[in-house]
Amino acid sequence: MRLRSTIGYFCTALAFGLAAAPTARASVLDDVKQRGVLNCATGDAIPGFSYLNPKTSKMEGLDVDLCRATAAAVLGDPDKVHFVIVTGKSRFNTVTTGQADVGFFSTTVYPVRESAIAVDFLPINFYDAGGFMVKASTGVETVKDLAGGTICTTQGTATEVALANLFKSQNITDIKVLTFDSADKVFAALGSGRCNAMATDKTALASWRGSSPKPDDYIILREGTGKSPFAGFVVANDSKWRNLLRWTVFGLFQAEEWGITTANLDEMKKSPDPVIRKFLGVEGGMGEDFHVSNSFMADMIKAVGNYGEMYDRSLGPKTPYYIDRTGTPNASWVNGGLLYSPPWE
Amino acid sequence: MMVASNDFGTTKVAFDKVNKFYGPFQALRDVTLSVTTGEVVVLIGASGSGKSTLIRCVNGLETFHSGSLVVEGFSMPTIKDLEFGGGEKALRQIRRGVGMVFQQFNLFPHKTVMENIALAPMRVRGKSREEAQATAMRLLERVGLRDHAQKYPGMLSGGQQQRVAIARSLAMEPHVMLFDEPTSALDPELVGEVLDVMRELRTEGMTMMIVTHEMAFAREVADRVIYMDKGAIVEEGPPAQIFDKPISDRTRTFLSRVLKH
Amino acid sequence: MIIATLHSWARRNLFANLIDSILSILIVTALGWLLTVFLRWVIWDAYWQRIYESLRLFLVGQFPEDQTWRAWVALALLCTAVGAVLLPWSRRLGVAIWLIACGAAVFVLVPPGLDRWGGLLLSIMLTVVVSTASLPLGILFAFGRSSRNPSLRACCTGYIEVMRSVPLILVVYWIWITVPLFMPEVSISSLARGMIGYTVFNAAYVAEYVRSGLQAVPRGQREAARSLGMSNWTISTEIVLPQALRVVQPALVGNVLDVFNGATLVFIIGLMDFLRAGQLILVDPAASGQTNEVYLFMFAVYFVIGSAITFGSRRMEAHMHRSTR
Repeated sequence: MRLRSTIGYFCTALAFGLAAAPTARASVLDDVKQRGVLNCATGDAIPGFSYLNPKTSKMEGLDVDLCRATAAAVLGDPDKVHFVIVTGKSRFNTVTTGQADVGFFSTTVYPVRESAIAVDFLPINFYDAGGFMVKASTGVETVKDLAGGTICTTQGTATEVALANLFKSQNITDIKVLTFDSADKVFAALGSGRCNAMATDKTALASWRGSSPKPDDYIILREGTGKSPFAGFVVANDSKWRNLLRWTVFGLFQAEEWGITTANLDEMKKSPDPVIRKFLGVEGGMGEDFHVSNSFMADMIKAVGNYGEMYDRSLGPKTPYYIDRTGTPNASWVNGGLLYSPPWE
Repeated sequence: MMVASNDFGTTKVAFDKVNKFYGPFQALRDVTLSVTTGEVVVLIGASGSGKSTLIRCVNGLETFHSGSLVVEGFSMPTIKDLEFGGGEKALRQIRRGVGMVFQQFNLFPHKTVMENIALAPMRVRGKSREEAQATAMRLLERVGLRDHAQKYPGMLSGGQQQRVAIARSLAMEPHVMLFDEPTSALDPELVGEVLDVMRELRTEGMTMMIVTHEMAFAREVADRVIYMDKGAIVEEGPPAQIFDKPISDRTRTFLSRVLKH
Repeated sequence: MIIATLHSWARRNLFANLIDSILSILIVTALGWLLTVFLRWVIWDAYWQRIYESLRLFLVGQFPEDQTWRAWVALALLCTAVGAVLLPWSRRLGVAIWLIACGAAVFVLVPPGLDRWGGLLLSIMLTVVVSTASLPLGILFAFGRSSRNPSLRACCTGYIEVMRSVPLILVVYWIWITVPLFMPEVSISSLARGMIGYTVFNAAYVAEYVRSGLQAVPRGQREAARSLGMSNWTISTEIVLPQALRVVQPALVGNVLDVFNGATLVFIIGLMDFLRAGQLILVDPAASGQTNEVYLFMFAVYFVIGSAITFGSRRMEAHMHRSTR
């Protein structure tokens, strides 16, 4: 009897606690400004995108730079960012529970992620696709040639789902999928012959191939497993915050299109073009309309540069993870790619 | 049979029709007994006859189901009292005035001899460390173990340990001392030193209840000997009467068995 | 002299009869060959450059470079703490110094921010904080479980059984998720939440060890203390608990080792411990050839620390025996 009432008390307290927890908060933007630090969900083990570089003990990569760009735009300082390291499983939870304000984590846009999980995606900032890498000596050219073999990939990623769909569409049944907990193990398994093909995002395949002692031993099949567009994400139903960040990403594309870089920023502020002057906050009140400083675009470009500069820093020819942009969707639309910003008039 | 007296000035312990059960087994049967100030009562009987249970009731280590037990004017709480959370205060009052010495010594092995003796006076009686240690030293001298104050119990012989245990009880300045087979766990050559200390206590007028198998000692120190069997007091009287001309056949059989050995 | 001793020892132990001699020769040869191959690989073939370059990440993670002195001070404090409990002097003093030194170490390391802790620093501090905090908590739960009060006993038993039947990773993750739900106004760093979760988990195990110790204390000890009029509090703290802790001390020190080894699981909440640092090296395609080096290095470090903890527990046991015998 006494025990039952104790449990009853406990449950009541728990229910009250849960009911009180999601208090109506105004907008993430207000929280971030009040806190003075942007909590950005990202990873630490994806070289080129979000990586804690063991040599420098510093975070680096395209996603990390997007976090810093956001901090610069919202708070005027790219260092006012706190990286919340997440895994593939915890990334959305971290943002929906408010532990992070925004997530940049090589995350593929799927309808289910916006419909079932309470997040809204930002503009796509990188176009990836699933792909297959095989040993050149095996003579495999298409996915069909892999029938009867083993394909290896990493656990819990979008690739696994994409693979299943691909096999279904091509009526391939006798293929085995083996998953490992990290990509280095998959690559080692491919090298040792335990796997006939390594399946993951083409970007990752390129960097594994490029960094192997003999890149020519491996070929990446032309075929792919559909589309894998990466975008940042924020908690759903917060237009004030989502819109600001959406235009922040667009701004990076626009700056590249206009050729505004960290180096020539001050010069560009003197541009006679009223749209550029408005973009950089020299005149007009665009920032204010977004509830941030009018110079938010200028602050951001000063800190991290335009999209092209960010790309080159993390994935450019001077990095070990070089992925050529030309002729791919990752080029600016003026060069035939898909990175396109709506007009800033 | 005596009847419990209301005169607390001279009656230290008064059992009145006390019954105790372990499940279906009756450990004490209608025990009525009173002990007056300065009296030395020795309980004898076969093992399982209830004599240990009886003296363990006196300081509340055992509870009982019916009857009453008054120790120094305080009424011992029954099982029912304790179940409803009462009686703890009376229990602590009683224990302050009653010391106990166990068969297995039960010294605290992680504390030195000095700490063993001084701990309770400090924690229970609120004495200062200096005062408690001075008393402890005096008591150690009295039981002849002055040089062993800083040793751990494990370094002492059984007889020495039991003397420390007696000193530890005396440090609480009890009015009644209970001895539960104090020499049964000792090698024969060590028994004497413990009995010497007990003899000395008797000459000082300490009220004592002793459970023992040392019949010669019982005859020597007892004012009254009680023979128990199956949880009941079978016969009681001065040692001369019990040992030399017992009334009950059961007493006679028991004595002939133990005295032959 | 030494050679003669060695000779006679070998005679007695290795070559006592024909079968012994053959076995000895085979085993010694095989071991020698393995050792040679291994050492040759370690010295000539292995590529240690990458580990050398990443040593900072391994040791302190992203701890700010100009604050490294803090890590050294903390290390000195921790050594003091360990020394204090290992030296054969007053146990009370040893525990006091341990608490003060560990507290000071945490205090020294906090200013750069809890989220800057990483690598071995994080693993060790996590172990120190979790094992220190689980002990009093575990003791409370152990007493709670042996309590006469039925609702208290039911709560403690339930808590212990639930924690012991779920995996650590789940508890840590669950606490990490729920703490901000209950306290949306306060921001508690991932590391602090990880420590809370791990402590909540580990306290249940400590409670069971302590409870087994409580049961090992002979009944006569309580009876003697009660007959001296001591209160339940005094009996528990002065008589029963010290003896119980002595009995279970080896198990408790073993638990510290478990905590240290289990600390690798905190990567689930985004913390970068020592093992994770190694994994970060290996996810870089350029370093994927150094799997053996990285794992050997981590193995060696874990082995050294694990052996040190085991050695420490032996010493504590030894001088505990000396003090009571």
